[in-house]
Amino acid sequence: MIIFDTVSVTAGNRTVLADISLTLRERRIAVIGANGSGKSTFARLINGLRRPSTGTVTVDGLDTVKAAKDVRRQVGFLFQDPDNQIVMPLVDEDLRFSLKALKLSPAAENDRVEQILDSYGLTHLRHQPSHSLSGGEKQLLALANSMLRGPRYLVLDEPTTLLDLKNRKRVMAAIDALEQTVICVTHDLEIAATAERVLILADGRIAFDGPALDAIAAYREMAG
Amino acid sequence: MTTRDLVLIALFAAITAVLGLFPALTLPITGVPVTAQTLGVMLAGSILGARRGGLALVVFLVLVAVGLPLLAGGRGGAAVFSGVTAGFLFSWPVAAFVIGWLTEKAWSRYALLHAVSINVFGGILIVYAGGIAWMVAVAGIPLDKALYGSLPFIPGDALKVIAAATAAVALKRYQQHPLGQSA
Amino acid sequence: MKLTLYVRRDSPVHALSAGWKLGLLLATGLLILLTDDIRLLGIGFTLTLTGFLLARLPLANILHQARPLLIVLAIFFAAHALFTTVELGAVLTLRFAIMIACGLLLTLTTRVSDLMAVLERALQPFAPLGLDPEKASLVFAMTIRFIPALAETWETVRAAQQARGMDRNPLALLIPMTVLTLRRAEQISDAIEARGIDL
Repeated sequence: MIIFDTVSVTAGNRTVLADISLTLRERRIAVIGANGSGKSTFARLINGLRRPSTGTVTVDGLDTVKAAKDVRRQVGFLFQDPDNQIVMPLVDEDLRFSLKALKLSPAAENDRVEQILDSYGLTHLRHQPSHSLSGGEKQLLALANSMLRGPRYLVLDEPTTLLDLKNRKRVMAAIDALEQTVICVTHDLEIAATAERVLILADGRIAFDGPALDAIAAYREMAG
Repeated sequence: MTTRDLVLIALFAAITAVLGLFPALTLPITGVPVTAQTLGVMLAGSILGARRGGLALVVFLVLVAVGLPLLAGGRGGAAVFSGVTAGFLFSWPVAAFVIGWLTEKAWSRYALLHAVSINVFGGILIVYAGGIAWMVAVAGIPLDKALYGSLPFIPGDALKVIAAATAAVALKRYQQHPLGQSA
Repeated sequence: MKLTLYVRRDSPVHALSAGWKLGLLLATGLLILLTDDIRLLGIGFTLTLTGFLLARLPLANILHQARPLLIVLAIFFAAHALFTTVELGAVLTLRFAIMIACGLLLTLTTRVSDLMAVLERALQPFAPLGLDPEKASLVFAMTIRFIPALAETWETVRAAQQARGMDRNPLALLIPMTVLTLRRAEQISDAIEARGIDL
């Protein structure tokens, strides 16, 4: 359960998010809104990458600022541009890098890497340079990476914007198959339509909160 | 150092490598290659400041030393540090550090004129002083030959100074300059 | 850009530890400076090429990728032969070629992570001076990771400016390139922190 308690975020004298209080319990949640509506900041509050200026965000009771480290084990995060979340030269090295902090035995580390590569259909790429992967493969690797440490939540920040249709389908299928709670910030109404609950952000406020079909109708109306 | 500092160091070391992909010409006799890579030195100093800028070039040179073909023309390996032109390479981190240090000092009034003078001092004077001193002292090349051999590069370097200075000042104006953000 | 890196093979050269290979590279770099004898250097070059054969590398492929290097070598030889003597030109070119070939052999047969592990160990003595070997090796790895990515960005920016007829103005390339790189730095550090890695 993720709780936003009277959260505001300001940058300089600009209000990015204003007075948001919410409890998120659903398994599939989508957040939609125009560019600059505060969507990305909303996503980053959930794993403590952004700090609220006032108020608190908690994930299963853990404060995202005070217990950032524990929160980040529980919350995987997938960004828009796969190229900027792969930091090691080889696929295998990139996965191991995420496991380093867990201090597993070499055998356990190896097992975990094999297992995650297998579940995302990436086994044949294990020893390839990460740069040589296609856009879709890179995003699958990034997804594998965010699931590697066994989080209970996954936050997605426009995960398919830079992908072509085929890769978009491949990545979304992998995400749909997850047991975890997924909070997806997106421009893609097709993705939003599959959510149990949809939030619309406008100018840093929650403009709508409800089921997908109503949200999409409301969003279309707001966009004029 | 924050995560962001480490990432910036890596990316500017990488930029210096990418600049080496531009066609390199090797000048006769001295064998000094004409490269865009000193632009990386100037950019690292002017954009990252002293510590991060200097370290970016140290990282770049260490990777060259372990054999990665990152110098213009695909050269690499420890032996380049014992060649005739090694002094130029050794001067790069120093130059980036000095450019960065002066940029930080001048920050509140940093504009094109400062940027150009700082880069002329660090990116040309220090680099050439290091390079020529090495040629004379270590490689035993007579001073006049070393000087004449290096002169043809000055016009190219002057262009690089203007490019780096303009880019750094533009970043400050767009409020995208890292020194403006950490201050 | 193709940065020629690790090619996986089952070979004695691959099996040799990264520390040994790095040591050999350093030693070769020094040894070839000790001699002016073209025959000795010729033997050295042949030995280096033997290393490539032992490593079972796809030679045709490598030769193709190394074509720009061969051109650099040819120019290097021509310039030195013209301005000094053919003999001295040959000596210098052979040294240069051995050095490049050894570097290439090392990077083709050694995983970057193994090289970085050696570097990390080599940097340990500096730890008391405030240098963190683990952070340092991460920076080295990230540099290697992002060279091809930045080269690609450069190409994209160039193509975009070409469409506007601005590709001959270096500033029209340099400013967007630096802005994009700085933005990329923010995203990469966010991604590292999101993985729960504390630096």
